[in-house]
Amino acid sequence: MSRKRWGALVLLAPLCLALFPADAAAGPAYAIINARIVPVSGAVIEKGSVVMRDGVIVAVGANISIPADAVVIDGTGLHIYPGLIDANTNFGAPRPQPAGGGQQQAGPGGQAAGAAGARGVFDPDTSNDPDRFLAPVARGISPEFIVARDLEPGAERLTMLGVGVTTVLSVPRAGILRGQSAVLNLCEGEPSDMVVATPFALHASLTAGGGGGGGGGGGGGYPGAQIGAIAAFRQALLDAQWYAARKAQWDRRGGKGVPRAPYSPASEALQDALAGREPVVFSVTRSNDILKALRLAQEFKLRAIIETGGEAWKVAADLKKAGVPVIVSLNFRPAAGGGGGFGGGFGQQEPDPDEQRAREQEAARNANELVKAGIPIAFSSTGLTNYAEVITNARRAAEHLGKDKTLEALTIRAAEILGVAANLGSIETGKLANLIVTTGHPLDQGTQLRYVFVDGKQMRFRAPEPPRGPAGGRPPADAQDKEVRQ
Amino acid sequence: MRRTNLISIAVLVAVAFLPLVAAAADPPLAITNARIVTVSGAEIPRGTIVVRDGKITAVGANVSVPSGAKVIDATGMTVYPGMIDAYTTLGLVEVPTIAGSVDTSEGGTYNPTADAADSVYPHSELIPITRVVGVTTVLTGTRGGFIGGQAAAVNLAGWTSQEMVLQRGAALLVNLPHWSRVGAQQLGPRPGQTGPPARQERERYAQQQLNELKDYIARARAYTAMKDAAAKAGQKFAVEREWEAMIPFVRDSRPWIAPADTADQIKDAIVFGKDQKINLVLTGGAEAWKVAKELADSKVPVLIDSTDMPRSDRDPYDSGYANAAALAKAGAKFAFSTGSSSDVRSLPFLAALAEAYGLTSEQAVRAITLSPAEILGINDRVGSIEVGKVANLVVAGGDILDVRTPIKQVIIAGKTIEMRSKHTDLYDKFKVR
Amino acid sequence: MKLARFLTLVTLAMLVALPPLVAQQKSNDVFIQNATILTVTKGTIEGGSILIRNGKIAEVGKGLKAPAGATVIDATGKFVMPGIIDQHSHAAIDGGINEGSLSVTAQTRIVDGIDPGSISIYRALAGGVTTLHLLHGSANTIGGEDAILRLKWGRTRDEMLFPGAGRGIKFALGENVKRSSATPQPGQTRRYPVTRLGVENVLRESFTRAREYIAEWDAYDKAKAAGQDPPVPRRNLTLDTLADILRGKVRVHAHSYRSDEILMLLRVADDFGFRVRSLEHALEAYKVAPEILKHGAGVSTFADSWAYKWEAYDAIPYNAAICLRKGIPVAINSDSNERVRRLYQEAAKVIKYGGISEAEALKTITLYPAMMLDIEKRVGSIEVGKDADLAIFSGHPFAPASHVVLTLVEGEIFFDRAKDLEQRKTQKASVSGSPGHVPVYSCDEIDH
Repeated sequence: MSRKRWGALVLLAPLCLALFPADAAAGPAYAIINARIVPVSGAVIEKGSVVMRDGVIVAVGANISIPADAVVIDGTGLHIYPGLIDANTNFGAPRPQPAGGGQQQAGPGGQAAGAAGARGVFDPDTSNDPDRFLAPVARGISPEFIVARDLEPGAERLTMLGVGVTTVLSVPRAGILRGQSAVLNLCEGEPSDMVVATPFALHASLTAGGGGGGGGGGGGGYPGAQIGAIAAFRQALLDAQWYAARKAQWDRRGGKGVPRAPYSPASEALQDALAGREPVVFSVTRSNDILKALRLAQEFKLRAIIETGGEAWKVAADLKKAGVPVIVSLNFRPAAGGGGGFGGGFGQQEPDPDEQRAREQEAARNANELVKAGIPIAFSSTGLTNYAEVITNARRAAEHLGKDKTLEALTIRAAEILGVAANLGSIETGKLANLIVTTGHPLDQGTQLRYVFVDGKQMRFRAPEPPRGPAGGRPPADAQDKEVRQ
Repeated sequence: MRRTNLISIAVLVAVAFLPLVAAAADPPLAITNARIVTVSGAEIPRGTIVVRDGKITAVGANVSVPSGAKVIDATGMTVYPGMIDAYTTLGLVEVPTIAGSVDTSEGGTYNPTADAADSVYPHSELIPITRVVGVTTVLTGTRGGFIGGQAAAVNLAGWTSQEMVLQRGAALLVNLPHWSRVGAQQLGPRPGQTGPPARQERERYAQQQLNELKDYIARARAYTAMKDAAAKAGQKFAVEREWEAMIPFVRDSRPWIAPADTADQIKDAIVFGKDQKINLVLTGGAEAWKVAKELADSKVPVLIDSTDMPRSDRDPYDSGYANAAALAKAGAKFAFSTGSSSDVRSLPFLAALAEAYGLTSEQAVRAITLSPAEILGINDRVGSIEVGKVANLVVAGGDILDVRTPIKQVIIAGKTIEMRSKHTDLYDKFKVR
Repeated sequence: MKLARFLTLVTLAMLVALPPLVAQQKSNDVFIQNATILTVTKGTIEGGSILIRNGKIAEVGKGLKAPAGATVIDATGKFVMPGIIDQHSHAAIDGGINEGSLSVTAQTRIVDGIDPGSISIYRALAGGVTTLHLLHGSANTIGGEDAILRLKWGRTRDEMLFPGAGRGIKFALGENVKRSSATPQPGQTRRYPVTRLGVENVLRESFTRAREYIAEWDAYDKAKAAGQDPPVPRRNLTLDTLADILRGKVRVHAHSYRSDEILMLLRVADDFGFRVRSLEHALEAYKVAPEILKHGAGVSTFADSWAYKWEAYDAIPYNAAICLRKGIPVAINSDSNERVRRLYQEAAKVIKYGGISEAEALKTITLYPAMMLDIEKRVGSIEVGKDADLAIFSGHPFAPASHVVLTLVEGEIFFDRAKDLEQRKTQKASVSGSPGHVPVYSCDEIDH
């Protein structure tokens, strides 16, 4: 061959490679062999292997062939479980939450929020404008807000992985109609790389937030009280129904001879929820508030999910009757009571320690009571300040519910409730490779995490701080925390 | 000539002495045919009370009516001692939301010189409406800071506050620092937070405040000692008004009145009182029933309001009503008090509620008459119907604890009170519309 | 022959054995016997009895006998009165009794916030109360729709809602409404209105708009009925409720103090063609009793509270007496989780102040509040056919030493003092404040 041809080949080769990239099979494959595998969806494999490639589980079993190009990890003495799922967390939700399209501050002269700065020479005081009280704009109504579009994952991802959680439901932070959540895998890379499914659900609560219970006194916006929040919720859904009716009329008439149907991002965003195509997750704490949420859901025929704490068992019968799944918080500390300062002479009171203890114990039993009543449950970290308590409290719940059922709630049941059971929640061929490799059952005391895989890639993680006493203090240095990315 | 002069002189002398004669001739008052509840002794089913020069001069079944006496025939009626509310702000506030009418709290932390005796407003509309139901005497004073002021015991009649005052500086009104009060008003460390670390910080903060108060008391005692020593030695002594005001309370055992409602607050107050060797009286006492024994043992009296609500869902629903009975059973000293200004007239009804939940009628009546007088140290003058005491009397159409009972006549310091008030005036005016 | 005798013996044996077996079956009947019955509408019955069947009063009188199987309550020496109705309460409401951020919040509903587990309910029962009228607070001119609760302690909210009681709403005038805007946030103006004049404007503006709203929907309905395809108007929950007030579907209960604002409201109501059903507090009602009578409003007031704020300075405890004598129905209410427990003592005060009869005094906490709430056909007096909502006292309710022994709602016992005392033997008293501490809500705690 002439020198010229060789040269051309040499020049062309990289081009070829560029034009014809190596096929998918060139992605890294991992195989964990000789491990005890707990698929959750099926029988335990006492000694077997898992092979994953391109983020997907390609083989699981006692006697499977290991691809030649796989990175092999010897799992002797180790256990493989599906990655755990935290079914309700603000992780990833931007802070502060952008104001909804409908929000408007009650400023002088009708200034919109954020229009700070130059006031005119004469700014009329329009506080007596009847529209303010007869056609109010409620705060906390932002159903059009989509978490997946503005993800801000933080460093706590590493701690969450360190506890064995590989998938979360990322929910908007505050408001009555807060916005729509996304199911995220806790992988590395761009925030949008984490999104598994969006939107999952519309999230709602019975408070506008910022100002707690009681009142609704003058200074704050509308609504300030719970009855106001419920009224605002109702009005928003009625508005969405009205919007749909007007749009339908416009379409029906081909836009002829009818007034223009007004566009509303909030109403647009509510259509799926109204039609039952999108679930609505109500975040509430007290059992009485669960009933209020169920009533609202029934009023508008919404497909409800309740996200709540340790009092849910009190209304298990109502939850069962409504056929509603429950996302149970692993924060067992009772919610702060009706605020100190009432009752004059009593002053700021410490909660009764017996009372506190009793309620914590109730909260630990809560999950079992719900499962016994036939209610599907998942777990969440809502309200926890120390993420390690996800495991320690799951362990406490397991004392009543049993380790198997607790593990299911943390994996496959959560995936079912979050609508991602086809891809997550168990170790099955075809599912995403979210796995944790441990020295024992995740709920057992002393179990350590050896490897965490999300989307088939090995993750760095930060092991949780050991449980400490009530006083503060710096956590001890962490041996597993090598090059942790911030 | 001489005779005319003598007659003129006699006439002049007579005329000159007329005012004296007239004054001395303020006729005695006799209440006859009454059922008399003396409180200090046995009931007199049918008897007479004689009042002269503002005092009770005779009480009994066989008391004769002096000649020239103005007689109130109380057939079918019952006479009680005038009722006493030992903790009010009556006369120091008209309408609490109108700042100009409010004198119930002075600025600054230590105000022993805030003396209510001269600042009680004798023409407050609240006074007539209170006395026509039979409350004749109240303690009133300023609260606020740690030492709020000196409260005065006043009769509810008089053209001037001086005429009303029964005892200046009858009690010192104080607030004892307590961890449970730190943070309640968003002041101090960790407002609104509960739990051991926040609680510890609050306890430290409150202890600091308490130490300041103890130091203040110690300095008051030191001043008193110095003054006494100087007097003994015949030396000159520089008087300081602030410490002078404290003398009756640190040396002469005049009462200190402090609010305390929870079991913790009460127990800690008792310890403080013992430690500081003061004559401590507590007011509020919502949970006194939980620490009745401690109160009985320490002999610290409590001024209670039967309408207090239980603090916890788990506490008995009637803990406020039954509070008095629990204290009575344990042998603790108590009296009823409204703590109010416009609602002092409810005093007998607090006693009635307690009677419905375990207190006897006699105990209940005593707790609005003689007991508060004893607690304030004015029982030598008021609180029961006894010869020598001030004539504060209530002529009632029946049981004074019964809401329905009309009050026929009230007598304060021997004078019959005009049985009218702003309320009766407005009633008369508008009932004809 | 032997067989016949045998059969006779068996039959006889059965006749003897059967009745006791039958009698041992308990019926639903409750028989309260040998009490002094304060019927309220038909005088007092000494040594009388009440038969309750299926939750209703079946018989009242002397010389009655307990039917077989009835639960007998021996009320010898005791007094029975109709269960007390508190016409003005803010008990058992979660998350705030006031939506005070706006001047008009007719879109809110107290029923949405009810907490059936609130201990206030139990404590009210312990004071002989069987029905509570739960109102929105007084932070704004037009508040939210109310709810009426029968105190079936331990049951669900829906079981407690008074059936067929209709709808009502809260208005407020005067200082609380003006004062709610006391501390605006920096950059924000005070909430309008800040004067009584503004309060009137809010009312007139609101009902003018409500009229326009009604017209809008009437036009829509008309066009649809005529076969057209009109664009559907937007439903506004605030204007919906205001429209229903104009249509007479919603009772109006208006918190008011001064005589001038009372007259203002009555005029506004007359102008717009609706009736004020009751004036709440209305401490100066006695100054304008003829006008109130003419309009047809009732007065729901305090026994003797006064001077706690400027607009209460001319309040007199004879308010009820003047209004009652004019023929205006008067209720004595609590507006307080504390006072609700002793309304019987409060009602007695109208005897002391104004010499009102005992019968009328009893009505202020039974029949008159029932009338203001349109539930007088079911409760408010002890009459055959009415619901067995009853309070049994140890003595006359107005006598000083009396306390409640039993409280029944629809014939069921929901408060039993003897049982309560028994339970205390096992239940420990609290050590500190429990998270369920209940505040003493009243119209004057406007921030709550």
